[in-house]
This record gives sequence, C-alpha cells and structure tokens, in this order.
Amino acid sequence: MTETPTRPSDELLARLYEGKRDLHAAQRALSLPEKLQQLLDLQKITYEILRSRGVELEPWEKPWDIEP
Amino acid sequence: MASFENALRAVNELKDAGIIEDCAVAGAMALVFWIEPIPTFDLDVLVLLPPTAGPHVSLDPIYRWAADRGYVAEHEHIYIEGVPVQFLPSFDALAEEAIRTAVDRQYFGVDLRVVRPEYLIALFLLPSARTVKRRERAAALRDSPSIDREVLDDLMTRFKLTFS
Repeated sequence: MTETPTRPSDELLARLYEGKRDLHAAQRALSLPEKLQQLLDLQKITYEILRSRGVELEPWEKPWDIEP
Repeated sequence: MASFENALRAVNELKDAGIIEDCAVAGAMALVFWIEPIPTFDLDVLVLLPPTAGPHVSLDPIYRWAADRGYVAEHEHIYIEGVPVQFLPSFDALAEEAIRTAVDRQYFGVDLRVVRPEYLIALFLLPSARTVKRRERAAALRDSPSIDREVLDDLMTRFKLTFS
C-alpha cells in the first residue's frame, strides 16, 4: 500500500500567498529612511552570502558605511 | 559620519554649479522609491550634460568637481559621502525622457529627482543593458500598484521593448 504524501490544502496555500502579498505591501509602504535602513541591512547580508560563495566582488560592492 | 542625505546634497551641487543640466536617481536604488528595497551596492544617477561643441560627452567636469571636494573616483564610481555613485550620461531618447519626466522627492529635506517606475522598467529592458537581474527588477516593478499602465504600454511600444 502506498502512502499519499501530505500536501498543504488550497486554503493554507492561499493564506500563505496572501500573507506574502501583505508583507510586500507593508514593505512598499515604509518610509524612505526605513527602506534605506532595510537596504543597508540587505547589503550586509548579501555581501556575506556573496563572499561565502567565493564570488569575486568589485571594490565598490560592499555595504555602505553610512547613516540612513 | 557619512549619510545618504549628504550624498544627495552633494549630487545636487552638480546641478547648482551648472556642471550638469539635470539628473535623476535610476537603477536599483530608484526602486526604493517605488517598491520594497532590493540589495544594491551603488547609486546610479542619470545625468543630462550641458551641450558641448564636440560630438562626444565627457564626464571630466564631474570628476574634476569630485576631486576638488576630496571625493575619490575609482574606475566608474565616485565615492560621495560613503556612497559609490555612478553618473550615467543620458545615452538615448529614452534616457533623456526618463530624466525629464522624473518626479521630485525629498529625503530629509533634500530635494532629489527619481526616474518614474515605467521608465525604470523600460531602461531595465533595453536590449543593450539587459541581464537576468535587470529583467527581474522590471518584473517586480511591473507588478507594483505604482505603475501607470498607459504610460508603460506607450513606452514599450515606442521603444520596441518586450518582457520576454
């Protein structure tokens, strides 16, 4: 007898996608300084990921040492 | 400490000094003004340069301005108040229109102009500069509520651009 793999319901998937849409909408609505702070945080994360993958980066491809 | 606000203020000096005619924030940084931020490491500024006698534009006046203020230029970037800035002279009719139609914004009281999202999409989709990353940025913008569909359709038709 083969077991049927458990799958999320259509309702659960719809809720998850709706949550994602809401998150994007909330992020779009942030103020510019908040978005810039997010960008600075993303730069740090991206930089570390790229470095850990051994990606050769240009000298300017690094997090900005600035205030938002 | 360096700040984004001071970087924008410095860029505005170029216009005040008559070194450039007009400018607008473009590239990935401009997305911050329209959708959620995505990672980028430089600030693209599209610039309209004053007319010259010769056939080619030169960025030398911008580099001289930067040197006078102690901003370091490295390859195609100038480090302004901690931000690597790339000045991109308007290269065709689309870029020129993108600058002329840019919208006025303020960041902590500093005026700046930002390329409209429909024009950003068009610039991202230019065959000469098209990469997977730029196509993804165009798609992210296309799905945002800030897009004026009529303006976008007009640009796509006039400049013969496609998403595929």
